[in-house]
Amino acid sequence: MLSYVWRNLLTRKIRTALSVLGVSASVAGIVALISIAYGMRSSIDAYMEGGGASLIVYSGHVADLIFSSVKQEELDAIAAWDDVEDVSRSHFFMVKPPAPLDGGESDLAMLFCFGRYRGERMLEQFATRLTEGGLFRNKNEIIASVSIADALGWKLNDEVEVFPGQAFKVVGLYESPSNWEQLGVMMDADVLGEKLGRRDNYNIAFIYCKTADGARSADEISAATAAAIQEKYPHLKAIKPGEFTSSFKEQLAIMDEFIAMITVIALVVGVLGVLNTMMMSVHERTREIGMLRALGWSRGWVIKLILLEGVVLCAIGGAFGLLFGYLGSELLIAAYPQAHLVAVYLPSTFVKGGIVAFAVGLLAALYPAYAASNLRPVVALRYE
Amino acid sequence: MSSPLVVFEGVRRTFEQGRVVALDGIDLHIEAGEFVAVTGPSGSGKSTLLNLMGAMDLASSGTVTIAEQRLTDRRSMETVRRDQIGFVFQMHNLVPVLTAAENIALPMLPRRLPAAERRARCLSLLEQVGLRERADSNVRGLSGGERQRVAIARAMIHEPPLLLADEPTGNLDSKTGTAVMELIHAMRRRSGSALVLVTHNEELCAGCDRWLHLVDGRLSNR
Repeated sequence: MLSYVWRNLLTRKIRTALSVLGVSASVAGIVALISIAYGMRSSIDAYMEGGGASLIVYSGHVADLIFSSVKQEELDAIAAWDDVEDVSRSHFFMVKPPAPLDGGESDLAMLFCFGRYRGERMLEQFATRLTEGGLFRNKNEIIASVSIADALGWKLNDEVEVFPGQAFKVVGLYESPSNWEQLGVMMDADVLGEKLGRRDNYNIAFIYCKTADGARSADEISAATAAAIQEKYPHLKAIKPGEFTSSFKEQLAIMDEFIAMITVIALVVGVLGVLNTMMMSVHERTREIGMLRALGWSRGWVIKLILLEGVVLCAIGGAFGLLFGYLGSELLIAAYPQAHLVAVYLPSTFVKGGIVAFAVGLLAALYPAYAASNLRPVVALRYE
Repeated sequence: MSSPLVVFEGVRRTFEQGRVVALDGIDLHIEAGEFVAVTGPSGSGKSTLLNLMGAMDLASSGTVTIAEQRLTDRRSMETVRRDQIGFVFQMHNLVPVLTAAENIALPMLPRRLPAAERRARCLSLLEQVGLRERADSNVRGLSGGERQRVAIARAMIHEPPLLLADEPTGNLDSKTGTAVMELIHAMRRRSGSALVLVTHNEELCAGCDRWLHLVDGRLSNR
């Protein structure tokens, strides 16, 4: 049966190839979209986890971290708890990037600004990511990612204007696994706080809990600390850094819905393309199908034949689609380095792509299979 | 005494809401192993008779029974076609993308026979029709006579009790046609199948057990 199906598909090479291409484009689009969306999420988590903190604390009621406010007095109290070793405060903002120093134009859409304090673990640990220079010591110094420095033509010790009319000396360059940090600069938290009109409150705080103390594991200590923070300060949310994106799942749901919508569109386009191919194939083989029915093939066997053709067609398209999805994502990432896109290829993404291909094959072949099975052999055999 | 293989009782087949009468009150019995020739002018109802006998169509009234199974619906027709009937068409109706052996195996696919056994039966039949060496050739590369021999092998692969042949030599030259008819007779004798041959060529009716003539949808013996 499979060789029969295979040879039927090979007989109409161009039509089969076009259908395969259509299905593979649909599947590739889905794989690329999901992989890059996961990449964006993982990049956010990488930022949160990068400092090695046990917990992150932010306002639990805000939809965007930019509006979060954790007060200094709250952090002072938390820092005094026995289970807490250290607290690092951070501001976070996005600005329009300044013009490159060479007078040209940059492709950068935005510049992330991170405000941190010298002496706090979050920044001190960052020293290991420096590729040149050192951490900032003064309020008029910054460190910048290598990507930003390249895009804006900055070099070590250059005087640059991150905000109009306010010059900073670039004293260090860093590389980070987090896309956010790759697209940003770090400066003294007070300087950024002043720009944001914030005084004694921060977007986010990183809490470093004690490690295992014999009676409790590190996880138990951080869980107890998180519970204590939320009990004492109900407006705050304290979670493990790796749980950040999942705690914003309502906000990220729109991305999931967008992906679902694109998937449905891809599915419909794929189904229509393959449906057309299958209908033409059934139409051209009317006499052949009549002959099969005359030879004793039941309606069920004719349905099986046509469905199998649709599924094989889409399995090939799906396999190419998964490959093209991977290559397409990498191509996109390479083509837009300034966007710092990251793709995360989860096995579940490829499974989803495979399911879409299978569904396209099955759905697209259903009606042609039904139509073929309904052909009356006596009529089909007379078909010219 | 065993029942007749084919029983038509008062069979009438009409088209266009009864305005066109293709068969009109046919009563017919065909015994197992019998060779029955059916002739008649164009439009006399030969093809309609064959379609009813081949379980490809249902009578408008009357009953058609094949191998003790009355044809009443699509399911009974499918079962009879699968188990009782072998078809040889005027056009060989082979699947062009398949080899000779694969074409012969087509009626066996719904029977879920192991592939090796299916292949062995195909090769045995190809041997019988003298095309063993062409088993794996695409049928597009075969001559008209060879294709019809493959079609005969395909019709006989499940050793049907009833072999229906509709102008099987209609597209062949006389020498090839004679050879094809000899092959059909040889194979049906070997399997004990009854043969119903519909033809315009009265020479092919030689040696038949019964010769039926259809005129305006009614049968007469010749």
